[in-house]
Amino acid sequence: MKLSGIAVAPGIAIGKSICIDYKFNIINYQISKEGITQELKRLEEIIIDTIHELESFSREFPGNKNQRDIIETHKMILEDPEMINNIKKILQEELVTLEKALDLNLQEIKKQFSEIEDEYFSARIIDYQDVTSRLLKKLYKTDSEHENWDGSILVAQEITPSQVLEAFKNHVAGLISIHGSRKSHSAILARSLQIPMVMGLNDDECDICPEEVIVDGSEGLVIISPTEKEKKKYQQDLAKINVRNQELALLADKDSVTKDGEKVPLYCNIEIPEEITALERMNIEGIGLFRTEFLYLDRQKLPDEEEQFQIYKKVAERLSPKPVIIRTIDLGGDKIAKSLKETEMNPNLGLRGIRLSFKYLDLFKVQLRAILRAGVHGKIKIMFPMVSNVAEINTAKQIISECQKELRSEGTKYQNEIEIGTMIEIPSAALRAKEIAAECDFLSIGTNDLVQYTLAVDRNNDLVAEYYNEADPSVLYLIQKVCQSAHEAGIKVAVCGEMASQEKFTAILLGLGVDELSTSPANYNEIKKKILQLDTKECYKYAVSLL
Amino acid sequence: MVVKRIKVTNEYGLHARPSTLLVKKATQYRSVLKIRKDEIEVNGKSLLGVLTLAAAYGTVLELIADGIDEKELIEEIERLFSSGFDEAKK
Repeated sequence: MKLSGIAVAPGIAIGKSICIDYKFNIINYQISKEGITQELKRLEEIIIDTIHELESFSREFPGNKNQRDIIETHKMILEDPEMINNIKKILQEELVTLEKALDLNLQEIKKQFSEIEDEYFSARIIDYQDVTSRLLKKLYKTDSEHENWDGSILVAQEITPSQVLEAFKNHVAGLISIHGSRKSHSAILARSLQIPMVMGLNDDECDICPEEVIVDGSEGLVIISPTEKEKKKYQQDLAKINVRNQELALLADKDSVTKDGEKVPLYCNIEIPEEITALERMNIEGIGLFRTEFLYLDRQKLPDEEEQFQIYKKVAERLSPKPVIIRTIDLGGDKIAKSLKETEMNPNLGLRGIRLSFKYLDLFKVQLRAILRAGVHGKIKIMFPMVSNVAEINTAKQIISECQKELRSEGTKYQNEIEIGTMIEIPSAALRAKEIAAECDFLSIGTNDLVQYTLAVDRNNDLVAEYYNEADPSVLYLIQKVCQSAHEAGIKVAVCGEMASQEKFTAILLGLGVDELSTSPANYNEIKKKILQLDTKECYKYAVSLL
Repeated sequence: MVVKRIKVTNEYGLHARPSTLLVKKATQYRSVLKIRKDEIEVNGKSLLGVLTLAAAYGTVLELIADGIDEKELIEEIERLFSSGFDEAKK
């Protein structure tokens, strides 16, 4: 049987499926009236057991205040007389197993929460889901750690980022998440770690486990119990991919130098801190773009200074002495203040990037302070997004100085000598790159936005997507101009947009004068391989011919 | 029986943490505690009840305590509210 979903992380996996959540396994049969006593006893035991487990957990791992609060809330849920009575009622009226009763109870609570309009409250359903799955896991004793995941395909309703990491460590071949989207953290991680993944089959009833399954992460297909013919075809494709990956893996120890001996420093872009796990086996030269939007998305409260500091510090320490370029938030206003949601007619030309940071100065300072403090623990650089002229850079630098002054007077440790760079992604910034370069330690070209703004094309709009062309002479002209301006000022230019991750553009970019590239983790070795094959003089000739 | 009207003054309202604190406090007393918001009345000793009230900042609630330690219970709950559950007040 063939199911189609969203292609989330490319590649092919063939293996036996293992279900890692209870949802598929709900034991459901009618019990007799006499059976109720037994189920009630199980209920009582499982609750006492789970409360003890939570208590001993919080004794052993005190964690931070937030984590302690969550454990308290979960304990309170387990002690809730109304909920316990409801489960008992379901058992007695429906004559179902305790497992089914717990699931039905959760459905009822979900319905109650779905009627709450305020998202801040309705989101708390997650605590009830967590507690229910904790109880069910205990009942099934399917503690996934005990299973052998090697070479298998993991299936769950919704695979979490920590499960993706766990899967990576245990050599899982592929992942299937019934729900989810390409932009989710799990999807980002699967791509970085190069584990083939398909999401969004949106079929709660499908029978995937335990069967032989093929995951085609490039096409977004899942084939359950494949025919011999299907299997053979995919085995051949997989063999080719494996050969190629093995070749690429050998490049880890090689330096990224062109044929004629030019060193091209090669960095990685990351979106979430967990991705550093993917970088360890690649021997990268640093992080050329650490996006920080994850801190602000899908959550109720904005991140405070301490939380950000800990995250930046961890990444900086893991990479040290290699550099980590942290880009300050690049979000639309709707992500920060609900009130702004519908007011922008044209968000791409609206309150984004550094403009948003200037408007919400408190928020900006929290982030800058966290970065400056983390700068003591590794080599951190700051980069500003969506800058349109040099005045904005001067303002941003002034704010950094203010933050440094505050930290100094508070006696907090911070980095006084921090390198500052600008993303060049607005044509006006590219045209006046000379002035901006004079105020910066480095520039980094964000090609996605630079192309979009230069050509006035939204590539996500199918009606005009064909007009989106990275190699348009006007785009290449701007890139060359930025490189020349930077070199005159004695600083380096990197490209961190998607052009840097596509090997068909590597020669052009080097030819235009780009010094460094920052790619997505999945494309890192491919681009390195390309650099090794290139000759800078030929790159230059080629680039010039396109201008 | 004691009845008391009270306003939610902490910024994020009775979300998970304050609700947990409230229920924890209430269960230390023998009296029954009901909480009313408009037409809805819930058991003040049930987290599910308190959470589903979705009492945001500024909501006015009615506390109804009944039992031998009703007065102490109400006083204690009032104290929680007036301290803003130890979080930022708006």
